[in-house]
Amino acid sequence: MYNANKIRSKILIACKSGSEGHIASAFSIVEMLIAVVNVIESAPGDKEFLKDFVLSKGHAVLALYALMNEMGLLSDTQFSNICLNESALVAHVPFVPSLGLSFGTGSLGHGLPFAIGKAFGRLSASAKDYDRPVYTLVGDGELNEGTSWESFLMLLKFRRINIRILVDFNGSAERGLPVESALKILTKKFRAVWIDGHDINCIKSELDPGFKGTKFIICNTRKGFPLKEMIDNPTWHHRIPTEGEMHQFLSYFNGNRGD
Amino acid sequence: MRKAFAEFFKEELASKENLYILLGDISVGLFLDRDGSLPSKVINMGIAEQGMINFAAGLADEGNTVVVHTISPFLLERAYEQIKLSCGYNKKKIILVAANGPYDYHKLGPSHHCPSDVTLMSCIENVSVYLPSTIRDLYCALKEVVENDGASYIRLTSRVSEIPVSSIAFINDDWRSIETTNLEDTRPSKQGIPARGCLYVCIGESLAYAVRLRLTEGDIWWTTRPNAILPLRASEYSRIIILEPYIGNFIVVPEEVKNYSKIERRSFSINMKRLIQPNMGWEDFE
Repeated sequence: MYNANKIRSKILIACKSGSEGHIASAFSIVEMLIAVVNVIESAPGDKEFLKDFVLSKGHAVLALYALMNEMGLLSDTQFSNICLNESALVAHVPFVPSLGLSFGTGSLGHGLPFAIGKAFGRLSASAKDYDRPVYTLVGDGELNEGTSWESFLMLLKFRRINIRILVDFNGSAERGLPVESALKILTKKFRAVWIDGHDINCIKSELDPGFKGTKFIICNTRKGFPLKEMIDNPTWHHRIPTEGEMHQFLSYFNGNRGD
Repeated sequence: MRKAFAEFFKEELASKENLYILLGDISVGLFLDRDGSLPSKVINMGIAEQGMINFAAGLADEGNTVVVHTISPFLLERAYEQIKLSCGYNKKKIILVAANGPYDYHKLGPSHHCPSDVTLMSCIENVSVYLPSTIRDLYCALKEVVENDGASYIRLTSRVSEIPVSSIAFINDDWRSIETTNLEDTRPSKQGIPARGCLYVCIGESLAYAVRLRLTEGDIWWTTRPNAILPLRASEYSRIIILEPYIGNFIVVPEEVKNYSKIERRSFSINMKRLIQPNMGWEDFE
């Protein structure tokens, strides 16, 4: 089991080193990522996390980089170069096939229909990854985008596809458009659960890899969790910590269990 | 040309497992089997162009070749960001087939016009662009894009030219010609060869313009690729008129040709065409 606090520490380090990144958005998805990796690694057959997973909420990429480093998919050297000159590891999910990143995201609303297309492709009897579930993680604000509506229509058309849609519901976008109300209506036609997005075991149990079909796992999260200075604080959406804050935050994570 | 496109891919589907055709709720009837159903790999994705491109990218990510087909402004302008990222940045093999040329739907108004298609595609790397003028051109282009890696854009047109094979000469891989024996000794050309008079350089539907409006006081050369380089032999002509049925100038004229020939370039205007008129767009060639 990967350690959530260790991943969060790495997120802070990467952001500070590269002077770029969305820390709070990355923090809110850590438990979801760990749960998905655990489920994929426990499944029979090839264990290829990045082939099965689409991070549509591209600006949370620091969490993905941190996890990839923990998994050995990103070397320490590559990790230390995030957002530095000559690096392809930008502050949104990049297209770097040599690292297993086959679809860069960053503009919201692209990853979900892409994941649906992947899942549909896996229904073909000749598909290499026949019927393996595709996991995608979208943000709640991302669901404002028009392609989300188009995706819901596709999900209704292609009932047989095997897909898990995790929604990072941190509520930060409700000040714009009312996603929560829309989501409750639209997910009625599917298997859908609303759970604690920071409870790894709960998320794992709901990912349900044996189920054949579409399932929404809507994860109630706190943007910036678990740091009280960051939680629901909009100034932390796109901010680099000071040296003092780095010391304070890393001490907090070093002194706490995160698994 | 739309029918020919469907016939080509129906045949391809019979032999290729990993080919998908996504339709934006158009041309559906052209793909129906005898029992009235669509083949399993032909999917009507409805009127959701942005999602359709991303869905195509997902299918391509699983090792498939994917054709996406709808009307040009919705395919390109509405889903431009998706094409930029899925095809240009993420390099997914998607064959974009626009149902129509810029003003084929001239009576439907500016919402259905797309003279900007070549300009838009020229700003996205990794997308090869084809504007076939004849059915033969179309088949050549389709064979090429199915075999090639990378994404491509093919513009169909209702303004098709039917040129008998016997009238066509092949200049090189990119250029074909219909030539007369119309020689005009108006000036000394290079190498002492008598200069020819006028050459019309065409692409896509402008071949139909040149042929139908009987511009045969000159020779006609045409290509399917907007960024094709005019062969040096063009310098044998005293006057070259390049007719590009899109906004912008893309056909490349080498310096050596510019040194010998008078070049005139005509392309579609950026102004929206609000009033119905026959052969809309071709007035920009006058």
